Amino acid sequence: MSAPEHSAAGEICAQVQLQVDSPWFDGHFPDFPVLPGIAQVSMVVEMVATALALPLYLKSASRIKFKRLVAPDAVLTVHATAENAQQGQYSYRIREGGEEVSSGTIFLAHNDIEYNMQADKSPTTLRVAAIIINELKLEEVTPDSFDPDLDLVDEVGIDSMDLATIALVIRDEFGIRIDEDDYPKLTTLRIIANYIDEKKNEA
Amino acid sequence: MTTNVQAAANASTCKFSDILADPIVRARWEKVRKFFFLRESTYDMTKRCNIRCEGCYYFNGEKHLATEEQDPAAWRALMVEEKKRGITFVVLAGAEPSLVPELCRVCFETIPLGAIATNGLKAIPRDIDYRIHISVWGNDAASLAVRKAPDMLKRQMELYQDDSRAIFIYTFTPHNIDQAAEVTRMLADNNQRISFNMFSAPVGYTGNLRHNPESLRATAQMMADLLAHYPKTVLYSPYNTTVHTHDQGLHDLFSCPYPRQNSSTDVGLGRSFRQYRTDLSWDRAAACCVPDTDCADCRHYAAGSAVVTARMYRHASHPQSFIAWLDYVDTYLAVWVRHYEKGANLCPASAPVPTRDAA
Repeated sequence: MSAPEHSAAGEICAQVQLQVDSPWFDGHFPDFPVLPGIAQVSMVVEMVATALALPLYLKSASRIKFKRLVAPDAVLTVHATAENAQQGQYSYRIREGGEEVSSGTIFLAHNDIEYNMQADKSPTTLRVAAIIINELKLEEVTPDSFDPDLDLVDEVGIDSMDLATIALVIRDEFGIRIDEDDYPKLTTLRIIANYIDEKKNEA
Repeated sequence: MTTNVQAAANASTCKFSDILADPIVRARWEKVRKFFFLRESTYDMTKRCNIRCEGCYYFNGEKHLATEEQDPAAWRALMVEEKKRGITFVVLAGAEPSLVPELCRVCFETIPLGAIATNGLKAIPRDIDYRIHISVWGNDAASLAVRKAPDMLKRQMELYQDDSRAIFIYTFTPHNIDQAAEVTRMLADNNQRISFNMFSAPVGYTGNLRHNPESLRATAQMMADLLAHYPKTVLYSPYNTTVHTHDQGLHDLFSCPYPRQNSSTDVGLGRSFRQYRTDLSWDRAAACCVPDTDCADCRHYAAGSAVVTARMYRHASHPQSFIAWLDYVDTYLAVWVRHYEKGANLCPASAPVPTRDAA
């Protein structure tokens, strides 16, 4: 996504070059990749949050219309206009080459939880988040925005081999010994960071 | 093939990043890592079989007493649910899947990665593009004695001639070790491929096919000889030989992660693996890839594919252990996954089996 721009008319706009290897296309659909509608809404949220430099999340949406299929190599233009900035209400439309792809109204809210998460994040937490993002090739998440309580197994879908890989990289980086029975239990960023800090304190 | 890491193989422990600094090791790691998404379950497809083999895992225990679901729609519904819960690889086994090709096809149409274990006496239609494992228990004289079927290898080879799905799985017993040379030569001459299994006694088995220290050593020597003489025919590695002919079984060596021996449902096989009976039920307490095998005697190739692979962590503290593990996983993928081609073994000699404290 390009850096969002503010127009004189109060519109926020950004361009998005889709990536064919994006996880959004995994299984959506087999042999016929199409950008999911939720990914389009997510683009709008991300664009507005970036433009306003605020951690925002999608509270609700209305009158969403998806009008055209979006292929993995598409270049999209995202537009959003504040209808009621106090209530976080934005109308949006997404275009591809002049054709409207989708439109609707979204309601955004400050993510206070995320504010607190950022404030709480220790160097260990941020470094582990970076390791997980790199090893799992996660997109659309940064160490700052990584939910420390996100369950890597249930919500991200990783398996024991991925966890073992993360454990090995952590072992290298932090110089700690991780018991073979322990790493399968290291299923959230917070649990991993706490485990590392405890191991380092023991040393 | 020699790697830089091998030069440092005497190091006591090593950082994972140092091990991966070798470009050959890194390339193999990246190659096998792409398949970490595989999550397997196994399925008994039918109660029927066209032969009856001594020591057959299927006809031990209570599995064969289950009723038989023959409705393709029920199987399709099961596969859809399996896919939803994350299963990406199916193993179609007991009693003889080739007798129910329409059910195998339903599975393939829903989950396109998998393998079928068959005795190879009835061709599985080619549109079912799973890996096919054809069981061999010795030369044809031995098969006639143990499996009561004449000309088995001859018929198997003819049925699966020029069929790239097929891999012959030779099960070593204490009594057919020397015959492996004859079988491997025949398959090599016919451009067919072989990998190895070890007879693993069912619970309560009292026959004479159970391995002993002497037969384990003799099998290891035969495996090494065949791997050296037929590197294009034999899908195996020195480390496969080490772990499958060890005095200790796989469970004692690596602590089996299948639900039958693993109560944890946190992640991995303990969380996702199921072994379905012919009535489409499953029992966590009995769930492993070869149910009713005596765990203390389990050296089964299918078990090893999961058990050894899952223990990557303890292999990754020493370069030699890790490249041996890579060879093992590369072999496992080549044996089980269609279109995966095995690379040359990176570890030319046997590596010691790491303990859980190695990590």
